[in-house]
Amino acid sequence: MIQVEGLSKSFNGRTVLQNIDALFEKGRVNLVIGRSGSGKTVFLKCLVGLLKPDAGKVYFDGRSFYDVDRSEQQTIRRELGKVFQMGALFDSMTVEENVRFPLEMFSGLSEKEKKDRVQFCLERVNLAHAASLYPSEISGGMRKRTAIARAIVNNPKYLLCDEPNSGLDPETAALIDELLLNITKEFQTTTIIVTHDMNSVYEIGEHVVLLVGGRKAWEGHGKAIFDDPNEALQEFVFSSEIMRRLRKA
Amino acid sequence: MLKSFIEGIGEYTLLLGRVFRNPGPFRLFYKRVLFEISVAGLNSVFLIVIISLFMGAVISIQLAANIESPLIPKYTVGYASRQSIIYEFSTTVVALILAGKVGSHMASELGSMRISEQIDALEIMGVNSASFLILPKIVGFVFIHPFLVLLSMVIAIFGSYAAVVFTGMIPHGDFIMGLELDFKYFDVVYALVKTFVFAFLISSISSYKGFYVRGGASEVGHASTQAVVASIFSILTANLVITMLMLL
Ligand SMILES: Nc1ncnc2c1ncn2[C@@H]1O[C@H](COP(=O)(O)OP(=O)(O)O)[C@@H](O)[C@H]1O
Ligand SMILES: [Mg+2]
Repeated sequence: MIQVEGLSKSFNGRTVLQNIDALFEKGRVNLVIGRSGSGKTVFLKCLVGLLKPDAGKVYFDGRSFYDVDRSEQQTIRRELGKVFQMGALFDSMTVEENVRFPLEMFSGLSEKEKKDRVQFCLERVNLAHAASLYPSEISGGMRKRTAIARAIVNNPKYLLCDEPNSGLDPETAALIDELLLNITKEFQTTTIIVTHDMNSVYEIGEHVVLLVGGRKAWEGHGKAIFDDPNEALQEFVFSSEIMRRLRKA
Repeated sequence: MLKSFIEGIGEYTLLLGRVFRNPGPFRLFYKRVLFEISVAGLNSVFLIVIISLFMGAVISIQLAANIESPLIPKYTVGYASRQSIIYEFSTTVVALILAGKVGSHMASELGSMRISEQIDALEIMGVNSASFLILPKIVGFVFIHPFLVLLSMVIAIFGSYAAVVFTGMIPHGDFIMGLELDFKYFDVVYALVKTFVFAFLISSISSYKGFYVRGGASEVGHASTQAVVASIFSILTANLVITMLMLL
């Protein structure tokens, strides 16, 4: 469970996040949605100290990230997997080495156990055939899946994903959604996914937080997005032509 | 200007504090050091050989051509070539050249890792990214640089010998006599001290410049230029300080 209280962040006097409260439960797919530039990435980075919030608290199962000492913060980070918006794969390593890396650094596993675990994760994201390729040699969708495999290899308690399926064709995007949903259920992770993909919201969003202008404008279930009368929500959901047409039909 | 310089020194010092701390499992560290040795060291061998050969030759030819007075013995050419090569050329000039080659490479590698969020990815895994990435670079380069300098000395002295002896400007015996004249081991110690200091400056300053890049590709380019400039200034300053301390 990740709990956020009064999170605020501004850059050079420009407010990006304003007093955000949210509760992200375990074993549930939590989504943070909003327009491009609405502060989703900043929000995710503020959860784990990649950016330092100006105010607010973040609790990982009761441990307040910004109040514990550095070694406890490291412990929390090791219990966490993060999929970056651009993948952030290590380009000097192959797909397999990327996925293996967290195990090499921290696990006390034997060579065989590591191998099995990496193999398991690669198969989980359908990449066993690409294990020996470098990030520059694979497609965008494969890069995202590699990043997901790397994020889950350590059996994380918390899984944070920044637009894991943006820039992909609808079919691949749906596969990634399904994968993240399954992982969340199977391993009971506290999953937070940042997205602006309406399909993801509807299909896998069990708890959705909408950010507008740095504030929390709405929260609720993904299936409720078409019926809830909330203005900010409706504006966001029907901001594209295709959604407006679908509504008319 | 002065303020940002002082802030930079502060940030650099803090970074070094993080660098010399737990770099992760030894097996990985060792592999990374070997990798850095091959990137920074072995890939520079060809450049060092060529430059040393030509510069050595030019040094002795200039000396030989300028000594016309019959009062100055011919072995002076061998002696003076040796001194300029050990004192300055193979230590300082080679360090300046490697600041360009190795320094810019280190800065741009770390810079592109920064902007593509690879460094954040390490941090989020709970890795001390500063020491994981930078310590192997410093250790690797400080280890291999003395060998490069030694190589440069040997090749440059050979170049200076070849240029004046094979052309008949200076007889073989005179040149060798000059080479051996008044040889002090202290000179080698002096050269080695410089070598270690310069290697540390190049690798740590360039890493620092790359590690804190903000922005995009053009900032990476900028950081890599800055790495070279800052390394060169630090080498020149350190050279002056070490020379005053050790030779005066
Ligand atoms: N490091 C930074 N420095 C200054 N401004 C930033 C920084 N990171 C993000 N911002 C600003 O914060 C706003 C939100 O960005 P971001 O969280 O990346 O949006 P998105 O919702 O598309 O992920 C943007 O206006 C962006 O310009
Ligand atoms: Mg974003």
